[in-house]
Order: sequence, then C-alpha cells, then structure tokens
Amino acid sequence: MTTSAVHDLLFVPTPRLRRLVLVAALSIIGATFTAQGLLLALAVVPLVLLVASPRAQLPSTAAVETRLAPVRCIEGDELVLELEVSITGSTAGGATVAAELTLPAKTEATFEGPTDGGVRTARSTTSTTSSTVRWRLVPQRWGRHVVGPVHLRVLAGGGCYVARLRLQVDDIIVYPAAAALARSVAPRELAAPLGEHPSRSAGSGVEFAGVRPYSHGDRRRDIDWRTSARHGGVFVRQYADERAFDLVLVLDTTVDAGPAGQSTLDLTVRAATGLAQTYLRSHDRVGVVTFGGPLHWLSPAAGPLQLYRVCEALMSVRPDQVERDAGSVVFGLENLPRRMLPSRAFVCLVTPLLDDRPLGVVQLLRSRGFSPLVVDVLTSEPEVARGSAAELAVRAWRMQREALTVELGTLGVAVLPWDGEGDLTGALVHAMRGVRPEARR
Amino acid sequence: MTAPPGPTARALWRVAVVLSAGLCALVSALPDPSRPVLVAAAVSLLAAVVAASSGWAPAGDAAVGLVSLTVLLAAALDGSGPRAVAVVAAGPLVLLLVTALDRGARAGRDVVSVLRAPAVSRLAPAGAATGSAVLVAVTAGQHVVPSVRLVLVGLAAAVTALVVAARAHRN
Repeated sequence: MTTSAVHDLLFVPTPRLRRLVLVAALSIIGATFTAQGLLLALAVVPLVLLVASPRAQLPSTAAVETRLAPVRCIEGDELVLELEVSITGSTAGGATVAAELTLPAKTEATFEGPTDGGVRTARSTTSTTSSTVRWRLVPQRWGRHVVGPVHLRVLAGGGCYVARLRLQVDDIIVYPAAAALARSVAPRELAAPLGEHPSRSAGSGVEFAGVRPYSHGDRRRDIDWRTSARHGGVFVRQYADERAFDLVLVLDTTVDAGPAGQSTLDLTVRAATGLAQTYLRSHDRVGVVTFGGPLHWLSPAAGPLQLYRVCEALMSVRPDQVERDAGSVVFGLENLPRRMLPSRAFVCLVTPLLDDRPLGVVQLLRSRGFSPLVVDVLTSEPEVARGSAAELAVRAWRMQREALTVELGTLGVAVLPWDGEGDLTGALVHAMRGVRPEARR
Repeated sequence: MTAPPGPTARALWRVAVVLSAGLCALVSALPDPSRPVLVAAAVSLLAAVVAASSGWAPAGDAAVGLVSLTVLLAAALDGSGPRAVAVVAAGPLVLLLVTALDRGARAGRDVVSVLRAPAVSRLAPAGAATGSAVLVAVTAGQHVVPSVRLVLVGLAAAVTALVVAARAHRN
C-alpha cells in the first residue's frame, strides 16, 4: 500500500530563535549601559547565526511517500514500512527531518535508518533533498490495527524554525497464527459426499475396505484374483467411500482473560484458525459460531474462500462491553438456524470454562444429538498474595472449574486443556471415537 | 525501536545543559571571582538544573538569560585581558547551552532521524560566529582615545546588526 502527498511547510519559530535573540539583546543593552565594546562579543555569536539563516530561505514543500507491505499478515510475520521524504526549497540542503512512528500495541519495530544515505540534487534556484528510511514491523497479536500516524518534524533555518506534518499510513490485518494439527481426522460415519476422508461405507475411494463375492455390475478390474483362487469363487475388492466432514467451531468469546498474546481469546482464535485451515485443506466444510453476547455465525462451507471468511469472522470476535452485557447464550444458540448444525457435523467448543455458559451450550448440543469436544483454553490463574482472603476465593473458583469439568464428563463430553503449543490431532481422534451418530436427530 | 536510544539521548543532552551552563559560569567567574559574579553564577547554574530536569521552555529561557547576564556582569566588572578571553569562550558555550536545551526537549522515545543537514552547513555558522566574536573582542581591546563619536558608532553598528537580524526573521 503506497500513500504519497506533497505538503506545504508552515514553519513556526522554535525556542532557539527566541533564546538567540534574548542573548543578543541582553548583550547589546549591557554594552550600551556600560559603554564596554567587549560585551558586544557575546552578541555577535547569536547575531551571525540569525543573519545566516533568514526566514525567506526556508524550504517550501515536502513530498512524502509511505509504503507499507504487506497489509495482511499472520502473527509474527514481518512487514516493511518505508518512508521517503523529499524537501524542496532554496536551502533544502540545510533541513533536518525527524520522524516519530506510532505503533499498534504488541508490535515490535526495528528502525533501519536511511536506505540511500540522503540524496541531494541542486538546481539553479531550488534544491531538493530526499531520503528514504525503513522500519521492519513484527505484529505479535492478531486483529485489525492501525499503523501510524507518522509525525514528521522538519527543522530549518539553523534550527530556528520547525514545521510539523502528520501522515496517515495504513491499516493492517493480522491473522492469528494457526494451532498445530498433524493431520485432519474425522469420524467414520460421514454424511457429506465428495470428500477426502475414508468413510465406513463402501464406495469409490482408494482406501482398501475388504472383499466380497462378485455380483452383477462389478468392474472386472476390482476382482481380487488371489482371494478368488484361494476360495474357489470370484471375489472383488471393496474400497472405503471418501466423504467430506462438517466441522462447526463454537467459540466462547464472553471474556478475554490472561496476558495479552496468550489470553483465552488469543488461544481461541488460534485454535479455530488451525482447525479451519486443516479441514478446509481436506475439502471439508467448516462453520463458525461465536457466542458470549450477540450470536454470530458463519454457515459451513468448503473451499479456500471459506478460510478467508472464517479469518474475517475471527477478526470480529473480540468482545466489547455491549456484547458482554447482551442476552443469554442458550437463548441465542437455541435460535441458531438448523443449517448451521448439519446432521452428523462434528462440533468443537472452544471455551475458557469461566462460567456455566459452556455447560448450557453442551447440554443444548447434546439435546440436538451432537457429541462435542470441549477445548479448554484457560492457561493462567488470578495472581493473589499468599495467605490473603483472595487466595480462598481462587481455590473456590478452581474447585468450581473442576466441578464443571466433571459435569461435562458425566455428559460424555471430552475436555481437552490446550495451552496454545500442543497438537490437537490426538484429542480430536479421542473425541471422535465418542461420536454416536445414531443418537442424532 | 533500535536506534537511536531516545531516553539516553535526552539524558545526555540534559547533562550537556548543566555542563555548558556550569562551564559558562566558571569561565566568567575565574579571572576575578567577585561576589556578585559568584552569586549570578550560582543562580544561573540553578536555573540550568531546573531547565534540564523539567524540560519547561520558560525555564530554559530563564537559564539562557541568567547565564548571559552572568557573563555580561563579569565582563562589566572586570575589563582585563583575561576577561576578553572569557567572554569569547562564553559565546560558544552559550550556543551549546541553547542547542542542548533544544535537543533535550526534542529527543523523544521513538524519534528517528530521517534526514540530517550536512555537518558543514551545521557547523560553519557557529564557526563564523565564533570568529566574529574574536574579531569584536580584539577590536574592543584596542587602546583608543575614548570619544562620544566612537561610542555612538559602536552602538549604531550593534543596533544595525540587531535590526538586520530581526528583519531577516520577519514574516
């Protein structure tokens, strides 16, 4: 993204001008009253400086170009911001330009200095001085951020005049880093056709599923000659049907607890991004539901475009006060359209388990026949002084969380604690063994 | 940001404010340490410390004014040969004080330099100013018969220089 503009420089005097005049005036007044010429020696220094840099010779314009690329990235990726400044005027060569960049929160910046060392070109009446500087930015937290503004300060006239410019740069979108998944796993009972996961039912896939006696219409190339010779009949090989998988990610965005960068919401969006990315690569359908305030949902769909839709949806999950004060979660989920939760979809609930709302969600999902996996993303506890009354409260809170986990277990729901580092594949395999498709309505 | 270290630069310029003001007071008081000069030197040093620590622009103005007054007071009370050297030496020190106050106020945490004026264009005016101060001090040290006409010519030259400098910076 490139932004360029030419700005007129409106110079104002600096305290340096005032102080130089003060020294000169005091010296001349002192010399006048004491009739000592020696005192004029002190007045000469500021006077020469003032005469050497008249106001009429200040630079007139500044052409500024900012280049920021890329404007979409993933947490930890590197962005490059270049700032090119060209000062034009009769004494542009004497100008000094300083810049102050305002950075988004949790963004590291490395200043690389002028890339060209400052290029100066002079013409008959005017001269142009230009320079390009570069910053390398590494955003560490997902979200929509604003880079800038850049405050430029142009000093001219020997530091006696200053002009200030405020430059807008650009917005960046930082997508969350995806959680690690070694492979996409799926239940054996799958509904959607045309996928990559081998299903329990026989079909036209490539994964061997068994042999059966030949029947009319079977292809000749499917005949298993070795088995046929051993058993004295004609047998054909069967292959597992390859089907798609519907994954619905239910995200609890009620609260954002924990340190920035490792908060519950950070881990929630990273887990969701990893799951969505892995399953969409396998041509599965992925949908997203967020609760914690107003209900937001993204219908399950497949394809690369859906990954962008999911990421864009995840950009909006950071809850504000209005959303926190909004209605009941169970009420919201009850009103969820049926197509949001297709039959035989696998539901993954990502939550910090900080209140009873996830239990209500699980009960609702169980009543609809789903067997969700709960991913617990709370990695930190409140820090309290040892021996204080708050320590007792933390212990009670810890017990409440354990009770919630036990209650989820009694509902047959697996709870996977995830700290943002481990692989989610094993837990998914474990959870999908518990899927009971016959229970669904 | 990796460069430049803003807080360090600001601290260094603050030290430069106090050092330049202190040196200025020192060179003014050394040739003839009379009581008024010592008092003025102490007050100007105190003002410089306040200006450096607070970063308040009026405090900086006061520090510059008091340091200048100390130099002028010392020169007015003692017109000897070493005093002329002290006044000439005080000129660049006052200039350094003004520059240090300016830089100390500007040095921010994340401020980086995009374009710098060449060293020649930054230092040449200061060199020329110091040379002119030496010239004026040498001229003022010449033994001539005092006359009203000479005083008037000197004053007229000084006022003319002030008017020319002021006109150069008029809107």
